[in-house]
Amino acid sequence: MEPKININRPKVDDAEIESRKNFQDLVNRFKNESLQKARRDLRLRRLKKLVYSTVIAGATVFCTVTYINHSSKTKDDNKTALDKNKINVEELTEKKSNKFIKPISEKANVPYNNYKVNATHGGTITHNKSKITVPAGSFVKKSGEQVQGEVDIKYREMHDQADIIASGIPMTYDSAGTTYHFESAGMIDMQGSQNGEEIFIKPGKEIKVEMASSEESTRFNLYALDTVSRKWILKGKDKVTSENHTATNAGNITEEKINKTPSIVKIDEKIKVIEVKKDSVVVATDKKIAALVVKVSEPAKPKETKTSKQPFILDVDPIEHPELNAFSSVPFVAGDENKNYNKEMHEVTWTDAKLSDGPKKGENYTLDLYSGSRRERLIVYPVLTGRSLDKALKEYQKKFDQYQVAVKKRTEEEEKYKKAQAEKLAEYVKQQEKLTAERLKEVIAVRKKMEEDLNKQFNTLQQDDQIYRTFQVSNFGCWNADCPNSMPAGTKVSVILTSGNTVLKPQKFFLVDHSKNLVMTIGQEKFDWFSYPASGDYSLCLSIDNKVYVCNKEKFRSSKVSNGKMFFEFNAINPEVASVGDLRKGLGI
Amino acid sequence: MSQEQVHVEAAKRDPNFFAPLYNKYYKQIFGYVYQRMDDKETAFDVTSQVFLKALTNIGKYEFKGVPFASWLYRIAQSEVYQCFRDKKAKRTVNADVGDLKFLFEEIEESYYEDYTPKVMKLIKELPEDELKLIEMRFFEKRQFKEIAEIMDITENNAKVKLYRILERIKKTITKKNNSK
Repeated sequence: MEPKININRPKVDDAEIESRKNFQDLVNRFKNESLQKARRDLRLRRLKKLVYSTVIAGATVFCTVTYINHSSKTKDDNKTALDKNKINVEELTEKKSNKFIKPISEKANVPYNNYKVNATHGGTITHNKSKITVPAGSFVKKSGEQVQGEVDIKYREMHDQADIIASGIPMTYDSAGTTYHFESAGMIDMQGSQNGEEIFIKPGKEIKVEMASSEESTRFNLYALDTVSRKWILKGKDKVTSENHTATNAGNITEEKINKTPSIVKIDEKIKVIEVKKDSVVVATDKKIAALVVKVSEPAKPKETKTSKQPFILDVDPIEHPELNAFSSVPFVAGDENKNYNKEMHEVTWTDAKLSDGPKKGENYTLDLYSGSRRERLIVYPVLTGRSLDKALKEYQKKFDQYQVAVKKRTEEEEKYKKAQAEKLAEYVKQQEKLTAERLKEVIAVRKKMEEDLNKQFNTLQQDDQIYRTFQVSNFGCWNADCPNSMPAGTKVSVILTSGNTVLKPQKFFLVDHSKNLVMTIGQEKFDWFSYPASGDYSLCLSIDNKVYVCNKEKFRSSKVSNGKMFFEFNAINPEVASVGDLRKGLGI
Repeated sequence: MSQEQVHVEAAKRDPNFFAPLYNKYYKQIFGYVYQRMDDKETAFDVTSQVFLKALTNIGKYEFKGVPFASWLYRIAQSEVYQCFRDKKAKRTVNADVGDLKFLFEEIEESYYEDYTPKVMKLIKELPEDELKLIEMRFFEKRQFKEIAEIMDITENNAKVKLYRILERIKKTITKKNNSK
């Protein structure tokens, strides 16, 4: 059936499309379908069991008893499999972070604070000076069902090196094959549950976090920890404000904002147009090349034929049939494929004959013979020997030369088109490169202007103003304002770590930079060297089986090289770390 | 792994993590579906069905060179044609005059307003596969690479097929003009 045609049909506007989105409905439909499928599968399994049971019962009593026992166990397994919504949050957190986020010691972990919020109406949590704002209807269960009533929120913040080390949250970030270490302006870790069951932030909803911080710089980016890929994911920028200033309109400097700047949009459009033009050039050239046809076909080379068959000889009037001139006095023999051929045909005086190309052009011909009402059609082959062969070969050579000229001409035309295409494309590529370079310059200029505008607003900050770093959280877990740093440059040294007479083999090992809030992971399990920085304020921290050891700043600087190895002397803390405060004291923070 | 692949892998474990993908592609999939049918409400229904199918089958999706978007478009294609087979919607072709001008530029012919019914009649009579190519290239302005990924053919194949269709259109237009 032919389709209906609409010309210039009004478009559906974005607002209407947006209003028709309903992710919750999708999840509910998915859940229902999955449940129905599971029930159908269960009914099928039960039916199969009944059939097997009937067959086995006819065999032995022992087998039947075994089957019944097996059947009960399977029922219980299914019940467990269908009914596993209740998950203890502690177990889940443990399962999720198992070997991934491991605090340095059981006692010294940064503790969560527990808060209650009404999921239906929303609410606000005040954690020290930080504020967490939860909008109404923000939570869903694992099944996608909306959560109502009171929920438990576990929340903690990490602000200094001791917090970071104690929490065990990884602070490395891989970008383009290089590992960086996060300098932090503050990190949060938030989890939600209801009656021990894990809950999630509803897609489309966000929790506002205004984290009190001592860091006012805007050079930090916002990252969220993806526990599936075990990587930090860049989320943009947090907004930095102070207690006595309202949030600015400039807001975060995100790539999205930069890309929407009119000057950038204009350049992007120009680049897109060039891409389409490139496409068109290729298509146009392909068309032109496809249209190049060699008008002359390659002639078949005549071969000498030897036959004992009786030939047909055409008596050709060269004036009346110039096209057959080449075949006058050329004998033709009927091919073996002719079923109607018989020798009697040579006795007939044919009044008319027509010769045309045969099934194998250049090799055979179709000969139509007429006598009165009689008509015979034969596939015939020219008998080329001696003079007739020479003549045919001369004709062939002439035609072949013409063919070669035509082929050469076509090849030259094709090359001409391809060259023109290459030149045009190169021109477009140049234009694109120029625009790309222009775009990069413009992006830098725009970003610089945005940062200057932001910084201008904070120039009037007073010393005792409380800094807040504000961001929106779309899933529970760890969120961090960070700036990636490289390991400090230094001399590569082979190390021996000691505490008294004991050589230490750390399970976790950190280099702590005291000039900024930076903890660098040297090696989690195996190491025997690192780059020793020539200057700067550093200490080392390591852990072995819940015991924490520190090589403080002074000992770090005064470490000596002996027999090609550098010795670092550590002190155990307490001897087991009792709290994060003890770790902080031990590190000299 | 790209951000999108992270979302896909997460959605395999928990359907709630499908939300970013749903939000990102909803408008595009609706646009694709509505381009091919007359009724807006049916187009919204089919769009929902596409995402339900995608979520149900996301466990089977592996990134092997075909972007997630192209996988979604293939599901959309299948759902749209199922809708036609079930007679829930009528196959429609929607075009603007601007799209037709773009088509005429490709065949290097000047465009006049009174060509519109003639051209649309020609397009209407195209077999479905050829109509898809014309729609995606001229009415949806997709690049050949994307067209090839959606139709599961090579890029070169897409170009050759389209060129042949345009040649036929051009021949018909010029023939009709000459016979006037």
